[in-house]
Amino acid sequence: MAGIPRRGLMKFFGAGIVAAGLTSVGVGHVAGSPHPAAAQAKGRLRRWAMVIDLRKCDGCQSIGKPPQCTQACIEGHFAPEPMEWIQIYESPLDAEAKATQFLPTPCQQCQNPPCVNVCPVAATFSTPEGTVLIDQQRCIGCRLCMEACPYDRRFFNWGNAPLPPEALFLEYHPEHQSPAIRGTVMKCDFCPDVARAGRLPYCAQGCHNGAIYYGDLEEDIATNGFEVVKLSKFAADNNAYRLKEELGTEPRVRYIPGHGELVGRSPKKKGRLPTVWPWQRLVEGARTWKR
Amino acid sequence: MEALERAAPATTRDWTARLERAALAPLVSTSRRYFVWVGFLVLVIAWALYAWATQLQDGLIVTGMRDRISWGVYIASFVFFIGISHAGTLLSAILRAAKARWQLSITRMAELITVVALIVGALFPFIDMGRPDRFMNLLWFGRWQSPLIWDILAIATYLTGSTLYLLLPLIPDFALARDRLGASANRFQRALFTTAAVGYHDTPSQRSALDKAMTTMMIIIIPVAVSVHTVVSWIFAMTLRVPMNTTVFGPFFVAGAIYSGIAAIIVLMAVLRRILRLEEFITITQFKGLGYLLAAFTLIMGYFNLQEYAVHGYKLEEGMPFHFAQLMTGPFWPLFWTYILGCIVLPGLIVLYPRTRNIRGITAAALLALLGMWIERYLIVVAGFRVPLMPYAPADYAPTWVEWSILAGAFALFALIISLFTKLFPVISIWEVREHRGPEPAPASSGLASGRIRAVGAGVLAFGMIAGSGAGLILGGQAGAADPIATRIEVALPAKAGIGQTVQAQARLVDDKGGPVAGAQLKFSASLAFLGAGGRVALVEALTDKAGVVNVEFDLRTAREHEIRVIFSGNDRYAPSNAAATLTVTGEAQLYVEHVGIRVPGLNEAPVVGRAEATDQTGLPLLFAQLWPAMSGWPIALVLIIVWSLYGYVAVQVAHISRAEQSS
Repeated sequence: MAGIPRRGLMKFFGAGIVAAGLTSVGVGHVAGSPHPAAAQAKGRLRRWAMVIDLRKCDGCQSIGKPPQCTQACIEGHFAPEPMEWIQIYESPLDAEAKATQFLPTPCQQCQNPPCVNVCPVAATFSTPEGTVLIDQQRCIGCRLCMEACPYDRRFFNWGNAPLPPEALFLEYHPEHQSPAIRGTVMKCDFCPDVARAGRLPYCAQGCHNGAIYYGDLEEDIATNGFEVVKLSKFAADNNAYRLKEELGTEPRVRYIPGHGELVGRSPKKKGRLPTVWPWQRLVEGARTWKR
Repeated sequence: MEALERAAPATTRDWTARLERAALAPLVSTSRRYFVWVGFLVLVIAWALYAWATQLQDGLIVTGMRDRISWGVYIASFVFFIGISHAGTLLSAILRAAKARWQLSITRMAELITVVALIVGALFPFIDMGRPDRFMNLLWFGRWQSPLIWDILAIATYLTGSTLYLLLPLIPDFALARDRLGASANRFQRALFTTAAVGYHDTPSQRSALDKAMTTMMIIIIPVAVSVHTVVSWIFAMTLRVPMNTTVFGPFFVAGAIYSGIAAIIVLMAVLRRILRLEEFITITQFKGLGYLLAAFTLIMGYFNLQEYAVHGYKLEEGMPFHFAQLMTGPFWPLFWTYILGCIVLPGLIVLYPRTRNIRGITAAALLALLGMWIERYLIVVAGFRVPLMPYAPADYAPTWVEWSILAGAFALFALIISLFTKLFPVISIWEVREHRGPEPAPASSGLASGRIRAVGAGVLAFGMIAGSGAGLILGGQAGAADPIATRIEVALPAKAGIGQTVQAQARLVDDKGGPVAGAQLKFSASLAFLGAGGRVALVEALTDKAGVVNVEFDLRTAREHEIRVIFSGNDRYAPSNAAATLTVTGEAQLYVEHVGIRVPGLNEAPVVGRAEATDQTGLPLLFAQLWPAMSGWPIALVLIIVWSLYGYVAVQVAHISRAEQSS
């Protein structure tokens, strides 16, 4: 535990419950501050979306580092070990897995989200901008949402997550989810707060190949930081698909099929480096867990 | 009561007297072994509490559960205990409604199992919660749409109903204990008997009120019990996971619940019969009656397993080959085959084979059935969640000492509550048995054939993905050494457009002499900026026709003055060129409205933050759209109101019994 004042931010006990009160029966509502997106009632709302170009993802093999999108996300969100909110799965392309593709998988931000449907306390909710967020100050830790998610994109704080000291100074918000709260569920929040500030989400910033396009369906635009594209045209021209489309979850994340061919990866070159949590050495004796 | 006894012949009176003595004796005499037994149970529970305290202190990290298999022994045991709670419903309601009589001497035990199993079972989701301190959130923020809330509502309704149904037939027996035990009961017992008897003196009006109340409960408790286990199955069946994404789960769980419920009564009846010396009143008749029911349910369970594995096994959709392999030959094979062969096939054979169809044999069959149903719940939870959802290596789960300790504590608590209850009320419903005096002949055996459960073995097929190779588009270029010919583009474009409005544009590519250039690609683009990046954004491309003309359509959703640029990149013969035109795009309407899947009021309506989205998704006026999610639970609320009104009716009948005494 190394004497880090991790209990200092437990002020949320009770406060959130009282603040939200009975006025919100049935309707999701973030305890405390009103949702920033809900505040701008007039004008056009952003509808955040993502297009991931698998032709440009080589799992960071070429630079000999762990996947940089995951690393940027971890360092930006202080995501506790072993949570990879955007995870690079290596998916076989044939029956014998002689060829593989890398599949960066953030939360798919479903528009018919199974996780939101099953939550007993509306701790996880859809926002007008189309993101699915979690209010960890309301979550009761029943993990029904984790059973419901067909993409394995939800993570539980089984113990006291080791965090770097600076994480403890952050003010909690469902759009940033830090510092982590034991006994609650976390996941990719799609970084709408970062985007509203005019920057790309951490994962898209971290990708040196520009494989991750973050965009807005309302303005029909997306960017990977290098180029700007018309989202609908970009997705259609490149035969973009969505994961497990047949389940009817209506994800906001689209994939352009590929296996890193645009950045010179052979599909037969397998394996990527494991993700690291850079502050682990700072938190001595901390007890982490495996997924 | 006196009148009843006077009317009866002498032999009946003897039998009745023995029944009353045997049933009431445990209430006033307690052996030393009882205290040793209770002390042992308390120790086990204390150990479980220590384990739970460890879990509360360190979090769920002390369990074997992790993200991929995030439910384990706790939820499996929850389903198991809720399952055996169906004992009471089956015996007290279904058999009573069918006017069977042989079961009357064990209805009390069955109802007791129901109440205690529900109390113990309901603890597990609480123990399983990551934030038990936020339990009240379920009340403050509860959503009609969540299977967990359905569970809570259904279990609370069932627990209330079964408690009523346990207490109602107890009223005459409490009255009997009040009248008979007198000074031999201690002060607390006397107070309990007097209060709980609600002044019952078996007057005709009291008898009529009791009959009405019991008939009401008999009818209402059956659908409530069926709903409970259906809803429990829905915490699994409402997910999109492969082995659980099936419609058979509801009835499958109900059948399994009744199967384990029958087994639980047989075991409890065998134990209490020996300890409380009730051999005369609980005989082979009751064991055979329940044994045949058990055998019938082995067939039903076999049928459901066939249904489950044949339908999944025939199609072998993605994930199922893995699931079949892990169950039948993989890490779960000892559990799976123990369950199928040892706990479904074997109990049926034991009961149906005449030489083992005795009390010992039927009790052994019941123990196997209980073990099997726990294994089945464990397999549904753990093996079900082990099927990978994404390309990752399957996770593993092994319960830790904390989970085993809490499970042991739950069984100890179950036994402890039942042990304590044997000191508070007679475990045989004296008045009901007395009225149908004497043991009934055994029910005619119906020649049940043993269930041959065939699990359909599945060969593992791997689906290969065919990687499509893109065909290269070969454009025949004409090699020429001459200088390329200069070109020029003429653009025709409206000056204004609304956001998202289709803009029709025309462009013409001509060479330096004004002649048309055919078959050349023209690219339309706009300059856009987003999240710190900016540049030319491709809008549309087209090839020129013989007149050198392209007609295209595009839309823009960014409100501003755009410079639409048309670019010809040049080829071997013609030099590149470009042209631009201005297009002013205005408007502030919301264009992108998500049309999500089917929304069933009260079932899968999601909570939504903010007003705009609520209006968009339902298409209803603002106020109504906001109220709708809160009101959408009306089908559930209606059912609850009906059930609880009937409970209220039963309570009124009990009040009648009490008032009838005061007036007499």
